[in-house]
Amino acid sequence: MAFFKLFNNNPYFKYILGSIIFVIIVFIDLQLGLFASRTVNLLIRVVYFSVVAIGFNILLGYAGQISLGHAAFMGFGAYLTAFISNNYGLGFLPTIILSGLIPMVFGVILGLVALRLERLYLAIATLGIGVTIEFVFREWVWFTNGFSGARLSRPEIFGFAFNNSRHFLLLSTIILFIVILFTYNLINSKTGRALSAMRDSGHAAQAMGISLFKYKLIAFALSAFYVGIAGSLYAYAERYVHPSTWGAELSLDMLAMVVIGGLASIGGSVTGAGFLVFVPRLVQDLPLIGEITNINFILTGLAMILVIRFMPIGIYNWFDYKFIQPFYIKRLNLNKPGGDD
Amino acid sequence: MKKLEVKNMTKRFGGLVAVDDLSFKVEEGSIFGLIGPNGAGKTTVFNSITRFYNPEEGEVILRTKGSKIDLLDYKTHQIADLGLARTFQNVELFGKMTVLDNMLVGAHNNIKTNFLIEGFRLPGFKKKENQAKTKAMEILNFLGLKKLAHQFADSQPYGVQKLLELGRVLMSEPEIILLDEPAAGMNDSETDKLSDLLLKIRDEYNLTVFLVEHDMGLVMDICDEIVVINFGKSIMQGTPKEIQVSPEVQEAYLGGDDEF
Amino acid sequence: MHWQIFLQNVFGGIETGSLYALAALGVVLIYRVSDVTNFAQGEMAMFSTFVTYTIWVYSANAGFPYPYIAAFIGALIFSAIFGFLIERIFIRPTSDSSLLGKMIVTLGLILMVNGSAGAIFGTDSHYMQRAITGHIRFGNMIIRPHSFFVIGLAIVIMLVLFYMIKFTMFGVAIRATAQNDKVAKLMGVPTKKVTAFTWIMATMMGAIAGLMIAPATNVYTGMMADIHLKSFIAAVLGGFTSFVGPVIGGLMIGILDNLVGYYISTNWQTVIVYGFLIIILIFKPYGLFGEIPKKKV
Repeated sequence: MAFFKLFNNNPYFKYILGSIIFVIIVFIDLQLGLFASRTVNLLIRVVYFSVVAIGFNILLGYAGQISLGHAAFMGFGAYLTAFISNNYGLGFLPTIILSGLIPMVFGVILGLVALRLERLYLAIATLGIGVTIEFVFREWVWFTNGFSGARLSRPEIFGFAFNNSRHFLLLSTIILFIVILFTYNLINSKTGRALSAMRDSGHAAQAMGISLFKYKLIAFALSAFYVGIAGSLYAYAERYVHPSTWGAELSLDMLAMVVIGGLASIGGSVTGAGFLVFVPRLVQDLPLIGEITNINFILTGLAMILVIRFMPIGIYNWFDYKFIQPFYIKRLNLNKPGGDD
Repeated sequence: MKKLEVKNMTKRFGGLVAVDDLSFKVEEGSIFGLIGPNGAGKTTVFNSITRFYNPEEGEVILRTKGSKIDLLDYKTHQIADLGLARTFQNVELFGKMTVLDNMLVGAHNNIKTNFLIEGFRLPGFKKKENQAKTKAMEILNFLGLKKLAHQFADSQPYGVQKLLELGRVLMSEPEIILLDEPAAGMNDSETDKLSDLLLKIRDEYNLTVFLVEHDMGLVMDICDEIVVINFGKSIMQGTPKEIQVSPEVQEAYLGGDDEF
Repeated sequence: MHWQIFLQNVFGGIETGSLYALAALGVVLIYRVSDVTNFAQGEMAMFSTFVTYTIWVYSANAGFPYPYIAAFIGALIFSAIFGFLIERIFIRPTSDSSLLGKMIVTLGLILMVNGSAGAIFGTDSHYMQRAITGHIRFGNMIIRPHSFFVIGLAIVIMLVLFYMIKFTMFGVAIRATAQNDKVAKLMGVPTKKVTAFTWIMATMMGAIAGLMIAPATNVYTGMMADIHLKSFIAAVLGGFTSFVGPVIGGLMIGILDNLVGYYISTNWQTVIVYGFLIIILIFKPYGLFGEIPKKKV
């Protein structure tokens, strides 16, 4: 009982416990090679896509704004990391932060555009960005190295190079946890509430003193920042950045991640990232079925539709409301349905 | 002393004149009612004062902190800072947020934090946040809604939602609250309770109350002064007694659906 | 002569523009009636075109005298059934979902339809003939009868559609469902039939657009991607709240696209067209013909 009370009253406990467990797992893995190499790489993908999904969820789930061109920010962050680490060698932390800050400026510009457009029109307008950014990266040769792609090496901190993917997995997971803690704090505070208020009733929000202008810009800026640093992690992880990655498909994947995982939920963001990384691979590994051409696309698409059909609030939120919350309510005799993780 | 004064307000929508050279004064600490038949322009006046609409002509003078300002110089999101708080006819709560969170949004301007302080939980955050939470729970308690603090706003029954909207306006520590048809959708006994509550709130929190209302029972019961409008023009301003016996007012309502 | 080349490009633009208009009309029709932005429209058109192509090849090989006509009819029949099935199986069960949820369903459909096309028909690119082969010379201009056929066909389809929407009872049903499907249902409008019908219409229009554009793009899994995006741009440009808007938008995009492609470069086509959209949206956030919704406070 005391354990559950601790769990419920101090939300940080969840995250601290989770990270301790994860560090232990990774440590064992480092010593014993618990995960296959391929799995380690997939987990790294889940980590940086989780950062993407959290950032996108801030925009869509919490602030209610849409953008179908966010791959542009991720690509921009990735290319910035490559460019900076190849030309200026600034060190891991400054590089990754710059890779978030500069896209953030463009995020503000996008936010200014978004002030004018209603949801549907904004969606299609940003879809145009999502489609054309690939072309822009391809032509912007002095910055991106164009069609040949940009290469870079793994980061170094105080001389320790993260060439071993397992080490890099640990590093990126630490970054993810910092992001999660920051986001959790933000959501449960004035700014977080203002964003959600803006989503639920723009009129009432204004009457309470919330400037829609300011907070829409904050939503776009923050989400661009998150997605930019995720791009940075991508660049370091893959060690190669190519224009063809940053197409419309990626932007649409970001949308899919948060809707399938769960809107306005940190757990949902991570779940969605995991879904989009693992489901296609798992499908490919199925006996017999896995042999059919394109089966991973077909079944992933089907899986997406099934989730919307049967778990419309997202996988994580669905499990949260169905099982976890009632569990707490029963155990602790509260009347406390969920909300944010 | 006049808390709020509307002077020669005119609002047009294309060719239609919704508010026509309207003037009235609201005494500080009073409960003031704006009434009129359907389509008289009440909502337009209300939304103009609260800056959701922009009147073409006129002034809205607010006396606050010892000085006079013209509300029409300010934008929608700036009025909360000036000591005004409003409710909405259609109950615009933040549905997907909890009751407590709805209250906390009401205190938006009073919590002085920024996203860095919040994200990194820098010193100062906890105190400010807890101040707001304590106040919110106090008001919820006052309204009898304390048990619902962690439930979602959109799953509450209509009566609770209306109360919550009232609680929310109190969070910003306003000097004047503007209520848009607070008795809408209520039956007689609920309206009676509302009357008592509004009087209590006015006394407890030292407020001026401005309300737009259709329910004559409520209006005649608690308003100190009333202005009656029709076709965007003022018919008469006076005490409930004066309004009740006025032939002009009765003519305005003739054929309408309201009765004294 | 410069003006001849210019005219030829404009004419070509009207030709592709009519196809953008058809596709955009399909998108808007579906959106207004069932609240779904059908992102899978292009892929469904591509799939239909593959089926059409297969019928064409098959009937030509089997010695049938008019393989193209067989293919054309096959296109209509297949796409009607296809549209009906997609709506029934995937869209209707999720019609209660949020707008975002419905968007995701169509994204899932993109994966399924595109993946299936690749699996069934392969990843090669195939040549498809024009409806009417041959060309005529006018001085320095080359005019193809096929272009007239395309434009004529598009005009006929749009006229039929507009006539139906404006002057028939079913058209009233469509407009009622588009405005407010809940109330329409209460009034006895067969909203389910209306929704099914619009999906069938949109899929058929997509299939025809695909068949008409196939000679220029060849038949392969990525053939409709660019056209699909441009048809969305056209729909936004014209304004989602009208049925006329997407048509005008489609023609404008088609002409602009062609002119940019010839006079500037084919690389920059999509970027400039998209940039044009942004500029228009800055001045008219609801598109050229869109209505500004009135918000009640």
